[in-house]
Amino acid sequence: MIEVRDVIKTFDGFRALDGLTLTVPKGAVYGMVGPNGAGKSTIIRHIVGILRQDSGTVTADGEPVFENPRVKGRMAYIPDDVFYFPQANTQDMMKFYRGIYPGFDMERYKKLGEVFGIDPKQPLRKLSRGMQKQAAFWLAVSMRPEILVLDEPVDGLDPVMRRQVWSIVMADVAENGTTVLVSSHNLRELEDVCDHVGIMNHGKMMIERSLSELQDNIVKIQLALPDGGELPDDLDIMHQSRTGRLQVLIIRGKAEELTNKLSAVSPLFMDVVPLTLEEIFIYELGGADYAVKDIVL
Amino acid sequence: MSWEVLIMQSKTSFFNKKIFFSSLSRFWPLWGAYILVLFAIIPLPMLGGNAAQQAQYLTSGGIMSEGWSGGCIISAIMAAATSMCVFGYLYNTRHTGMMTSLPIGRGAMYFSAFSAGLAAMLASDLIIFLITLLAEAGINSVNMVYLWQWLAVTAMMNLTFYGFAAFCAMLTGNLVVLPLVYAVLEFTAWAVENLVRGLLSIFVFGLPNSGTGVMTFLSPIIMLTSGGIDVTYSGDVAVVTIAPEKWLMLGAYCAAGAVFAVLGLLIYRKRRMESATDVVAVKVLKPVFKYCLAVGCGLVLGLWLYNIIYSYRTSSAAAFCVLLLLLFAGAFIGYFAADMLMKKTFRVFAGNWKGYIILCCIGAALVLCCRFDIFGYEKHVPDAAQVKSVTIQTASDTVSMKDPDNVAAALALHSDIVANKAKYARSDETIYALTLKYELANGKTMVRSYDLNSSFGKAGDAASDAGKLQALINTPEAIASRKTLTLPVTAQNIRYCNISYYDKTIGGYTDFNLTPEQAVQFYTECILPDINDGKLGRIWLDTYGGDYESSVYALTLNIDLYDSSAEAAKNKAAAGTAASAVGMTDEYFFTTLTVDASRTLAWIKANTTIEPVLMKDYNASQSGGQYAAAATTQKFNG
Repeated sequence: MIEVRDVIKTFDGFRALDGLTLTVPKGAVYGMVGPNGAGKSTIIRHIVGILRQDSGTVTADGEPVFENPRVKGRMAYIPDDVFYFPQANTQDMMKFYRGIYPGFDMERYKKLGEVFGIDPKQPLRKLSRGMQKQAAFWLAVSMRPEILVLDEPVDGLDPVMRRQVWSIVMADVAENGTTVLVSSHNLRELEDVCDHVGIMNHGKMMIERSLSELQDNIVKIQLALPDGGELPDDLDIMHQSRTGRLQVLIIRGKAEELTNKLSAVSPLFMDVVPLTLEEIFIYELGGADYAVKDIVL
Repeated sequence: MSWEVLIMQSKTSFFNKKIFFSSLSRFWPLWGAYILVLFAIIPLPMLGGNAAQQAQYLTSGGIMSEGWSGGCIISAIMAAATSMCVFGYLYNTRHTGMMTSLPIGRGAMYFSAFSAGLAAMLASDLIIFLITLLAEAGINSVNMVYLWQWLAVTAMMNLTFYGFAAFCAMLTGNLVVLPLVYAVLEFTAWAVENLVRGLLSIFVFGLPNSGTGVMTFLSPIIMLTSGGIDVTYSGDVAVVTIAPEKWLMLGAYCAAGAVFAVLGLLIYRKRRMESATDVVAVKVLKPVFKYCLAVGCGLVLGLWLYNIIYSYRTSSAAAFCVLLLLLFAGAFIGYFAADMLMKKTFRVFAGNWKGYIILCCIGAALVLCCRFDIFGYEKHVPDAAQVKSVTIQTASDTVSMKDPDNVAAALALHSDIVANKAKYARSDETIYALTLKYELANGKTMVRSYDLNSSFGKAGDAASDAGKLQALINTPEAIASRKTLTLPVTAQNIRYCNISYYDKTIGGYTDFNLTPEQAVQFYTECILPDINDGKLGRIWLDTYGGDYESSVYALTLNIDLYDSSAEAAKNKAAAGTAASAVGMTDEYFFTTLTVDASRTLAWIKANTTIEPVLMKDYNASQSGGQYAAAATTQKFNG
């Protein structure tokens, strides 16, 4: 389990992380989402022990991560922009990582080589960004990590390879109970793989729940009220739009409770529609002053 | 594999062999280049030439002389290059992220990378050692003494410079800045001392413009390249020795290098990895960098511009104000340039003036204190009881005196100069350059250096300070100090002896050569007694006056001496009967004949056909331009 408690990090006076708290349960696939500049990559670099927080704690299974080779040896990290030694090929990098991560699985490395189809002797600098990302997955998964930390992992991969990569990760989670922390802007994809979601903004965690809990707690309702009919006062409405009589409401709360409340005002029509993660993200951040703004150019 | 096993294995404490070998293998071109350069300066020169030249190269310590000075500079450059390679991951955000996310503690990461660089350099040294040994064996002239010395010296220099370069690598987050910081810090102590001395000597009366460099020991590259080995000569053959104190110095630098390497580790442990690409990586050093750059630019640019405007020493208030303004301007550039570099923006001026103004105020206060001698430096003249000896240096001659009367006279003259500062130093016209160096009873030395104008007086006027100075440098003790030889004047020690004189029959100077036996007799029976009587060996501060022209002849006596016993020992050593080098000494004696040197004059008239011509007659025989040139040539000859 990864636990981040009240972490503050300041860069030359700019507070990138502002008392951030985050918990990734053991064996979970945790999707971290947030607008640009929210601090996602910064907290990831704390979690893998690159950066040292100004205050707060970052632990994995109860042990601090920073300057702790024991904990870091159980992690694999794929950054947004992967780095390899300038002259190296995949085989060189494999040898390097194998010498550092004792858990490096050569059998797995060979098997995955067939999946990715990268020439291990081809210099990595000559590969495309997507191919370099594939090589990073190949190497990272071969380490058999307990914790896999991914920052924009499938950015640059083609659709087939995206599915391939996620299937490998999911298989690892299912077989070995690997804990996965993934940061991405591709919410559609996260929705398919994550079981926990954290939404970050301005260096803080806004919401952190399991995906089902998150989806259960926000409801999209379409309804038409009779003439003179009014909505109950005690609704926590996050968003409201109207087309003629038809209203679309995004309301915080359980679907059953809300439909009961709204039935009391005798709507002419009422329908509960499931929310996507993208919609949750947009409406949650809209409440935090990060809505799409209507501008006239 | 269980994680428990992994945990135990990844606990690598202070060394990680993968990082070590990875660093070694990735940067092999650098190590190869180092070996090539060492090969070019150590065994290669020996392999050229014939057998005799090869033997001479070996016996004269050619390996050491090349290895010390050249090796010092190569070590210094190599240290910077190695640091740039093995710590290169600290200067690229992606590379930093990749390396620091590895399950390796910072101590192990630093030590593994550092030791890889050091091991590569030492291994390269060893390869060159073996190649040279083989080459020497190939020409049947193995000299293990110099070879071992070279290996030890080079290895120590490697650690000296590399330790410091590793320390510098931790201070910055920018690959381009690293060699600059390293180079600047290598020379900082020496440069700052010279700049401050140069600045203060403009307006502090008596402060020497150049000196022995109290802080130079903090610039090892200067200390090592300028004074590491002792080279003596036997004929034309150089003999290289390293004195014990030089080994001690190198050992101290080597230890300092090791200390810097440890300091580098301590900084690395605290380093903020987000500082990759930053000019200054250590937060607390940011203001230090800013103010140091401001002071450095103030001194360098301020003095440079000042010397363009005023190419001479002047004590005028206007020049001083200009100097202050130029210092402030230089500091301005340094102060804001530092901010631009650190903040990576040109927008650094708003709300950032307080520090600069405080810096200018402190700088101005210090400079004003020196200008108005608040610390009493200018006025200080030592008590006679404190002075063991005084050395007086005029334009081209130096004499040392211990006689209490002479010391008292020197102190009185010094007091006069201090009391008349306003008169003697008031214009840009320098007539007399005088340096007084006191050796004090407490073991310290005190040096004052003066550029004095015409108010100092005329040398011919005994009542003036110039006249007193001339009298002082012509006391018997002064003449003896100037003319006493350390080598015995024997026929064996004389390389040549001649009398160079103006021959009015041919209208020019010509030489009259003496045999060694004649020279010994001439020196011991005539020259030396005349010197002891104070009649020969005198000097004149002013060669344009009547006193000089009517007191000396256009004639100089020259004796070239060498230590013949040492030469014999050296030849013996070269023949292979002794391994150690022998110190050699050469000495040269010359003096201008004066009219009251009666014994010397009589000997010349009795034993040669020379007819000495008085300087005034010689000058009269020359045209205007030639006269001036001749007078200058003869200036201060004694």
